[in-house]
Amino acid sequence: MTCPSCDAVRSSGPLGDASVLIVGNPNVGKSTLFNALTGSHQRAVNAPGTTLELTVGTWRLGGEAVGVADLPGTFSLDARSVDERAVADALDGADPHAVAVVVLDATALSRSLYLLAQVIGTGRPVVAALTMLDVARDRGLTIDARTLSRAVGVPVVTIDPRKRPGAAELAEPVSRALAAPRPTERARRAGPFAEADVVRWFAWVEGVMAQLPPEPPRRVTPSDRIDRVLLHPWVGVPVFLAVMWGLFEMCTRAAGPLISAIAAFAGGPVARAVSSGLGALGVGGGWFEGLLIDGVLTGLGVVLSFLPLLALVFTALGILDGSGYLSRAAVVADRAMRVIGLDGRAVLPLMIGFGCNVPAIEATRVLPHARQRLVAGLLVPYTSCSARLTVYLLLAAAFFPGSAGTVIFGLYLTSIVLVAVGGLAFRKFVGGKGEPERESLVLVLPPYQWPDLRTLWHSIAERLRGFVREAGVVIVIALVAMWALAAIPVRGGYALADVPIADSAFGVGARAAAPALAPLGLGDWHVAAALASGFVAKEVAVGALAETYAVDGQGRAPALTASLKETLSNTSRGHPRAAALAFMVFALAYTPCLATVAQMRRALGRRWTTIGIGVQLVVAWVLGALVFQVGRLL
Amino acid sequence: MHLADVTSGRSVVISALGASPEAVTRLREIGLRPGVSVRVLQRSAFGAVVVAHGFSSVALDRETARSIAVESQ
Repeated sequence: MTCPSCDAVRSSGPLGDASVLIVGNPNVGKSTLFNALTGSHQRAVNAPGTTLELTVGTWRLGGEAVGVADLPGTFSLDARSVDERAVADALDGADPHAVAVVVLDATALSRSLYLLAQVIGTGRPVVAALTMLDVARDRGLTIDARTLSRAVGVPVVTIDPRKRPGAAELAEPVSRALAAPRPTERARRAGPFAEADVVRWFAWVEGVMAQLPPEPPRRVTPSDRIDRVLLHPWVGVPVFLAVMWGLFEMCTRAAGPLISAIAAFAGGPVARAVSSGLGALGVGGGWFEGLLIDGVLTGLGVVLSFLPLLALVFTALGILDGSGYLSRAAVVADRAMRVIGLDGRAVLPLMIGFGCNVPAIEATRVLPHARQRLVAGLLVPYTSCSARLTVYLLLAAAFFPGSAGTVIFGLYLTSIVLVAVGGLAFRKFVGGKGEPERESLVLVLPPYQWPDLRTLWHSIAERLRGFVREAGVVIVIALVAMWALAAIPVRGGYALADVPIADSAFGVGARAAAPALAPLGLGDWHVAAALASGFVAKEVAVGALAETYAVDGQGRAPALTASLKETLSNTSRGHPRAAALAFMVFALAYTPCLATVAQMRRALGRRWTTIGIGVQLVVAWVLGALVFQVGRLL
Repeated sequence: MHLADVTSGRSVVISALGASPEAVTRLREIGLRPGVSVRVLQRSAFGAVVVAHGFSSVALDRETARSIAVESQ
């Protein structure tokens, strides 16, 4: 027995019960219209099995709550790339009653009409929303909505989502389309379009355009003038580098202080308040307090500590994207990134990664194709973030006092080489079905404009919510697990949460893992424990070393340095400098931190995150072993 | 003559698209089809070319610009 509505529900997937699907070319104001319709009632969802984000929300239409989905910008429904396939699948699979609102750009009407022809071809009810009329009028072009509606055969309304909500204009035709009898037969198709269909649609577009007034000749626009500078062969590249440097500086300068200030607040005053609260309730002092403060509260502190930095980075990205500069960056950086098979825009997440990997993973969403986002997301962890610098600084100062700067420079260089080599490798192994390895650069440059603040705000708020909701849970659970490992006594007859680290499950596990680090000259359980803690956060690795040595707070640095030197001398059989280099290279290449893992899981999915972590560990071990084995011969 | 050879400011008519099938599809979708007139707005870094088509500006990398055959208007 078949059930058409069950089928619709099953195939609609993350779109749920969306009855209005907003479709259009990139940069035509779809998201602005979507925000105008739904206000704050929206959330981002990933299309199943992809890195593609769709936004769904609720529109109060005539007293009824109507689900609206904002689909990614596309030029066609030809299922060649994952993103286009997602739009095509959404149109194919959504509720049969759902109406497609196709946003038409008055300044690029024939391009919009080509997509409209395909959407009409799906058999779904369609309402067209004509935008950018003011810009078209400034350029001497007037389009009459009624003439256009007659020519295309579907209702056409004119909207200006940046000035007026657009809801009023759309309400009537959308309500009517929703109430219309459900189409009996809809065209379903698989794979790329037949050439005959493509030719037919082009002919249809030309037929429609012939019924409209001819486009006046193009005059030089302010955007053209700005592009003469920003895309100039000799000016464009320095401006681009300056913008990237600004992003990098913002992340490095803000990341460290912001993160440690909030973590200190959570670990200091808040922890003390919780502790005394528990004491007052008569449940303080035991394992419960340890679990609450060292597990849950530390986890919440980590989640909270990333929020200001994330907000800062999302704002910067939103401005670069919303203003139109991002597309220019794609042009300027195209050649350099093409070498490793990536889009020019991939420079942004990678640059941000050198400050902090956590927002960098999210920044891969600026990339236009699923495969590009995946490769960039897998490469970000190899960018040496500022937390790793604390590890380098400690070890370089201890083992290479005269040449610490050179060593650290070498590590950053290694990081860049790892990104480049990784790019080449992933290019071979990471396939997007039917997606070309590297698309040619064919990019419509949107006119420069002031970023729409409402859209900017919604996107920042949604991304922060997503981080707290999804990454936050992973971080808190992992920190509680870490706490438990360190609190559970395995030998020596200690009580729960009152056990020396060496006798805890964590210490015993580190002891078991230590021999695996022997080829790196690091076969010591202190080092294994520090590297395991470094999985939570790199700056924690230093603290963990101190903790496993139980050095007192007063003389921490010299005592830690001395015991580090002694340990590495022992483990490396007299080659402590080679072992220290191996430690730094390992710290550079292995999993950056828990928050990055949580972000990867959010953006790339569980499978690719697992593969990514596996590759990181193998690369870190092999490189570390190589560095130590070569280093001890020198 | 190819689009990559056209000096800035000149208008030409596209006569044939010779890029990869994916690039040809994309070029046609955004409106750069044989018979269409374009003007070279800007020659950018590393051989990239920006052309005006209607009211829009389209950026193409060097290889794609080399694969587009054009004729003088």
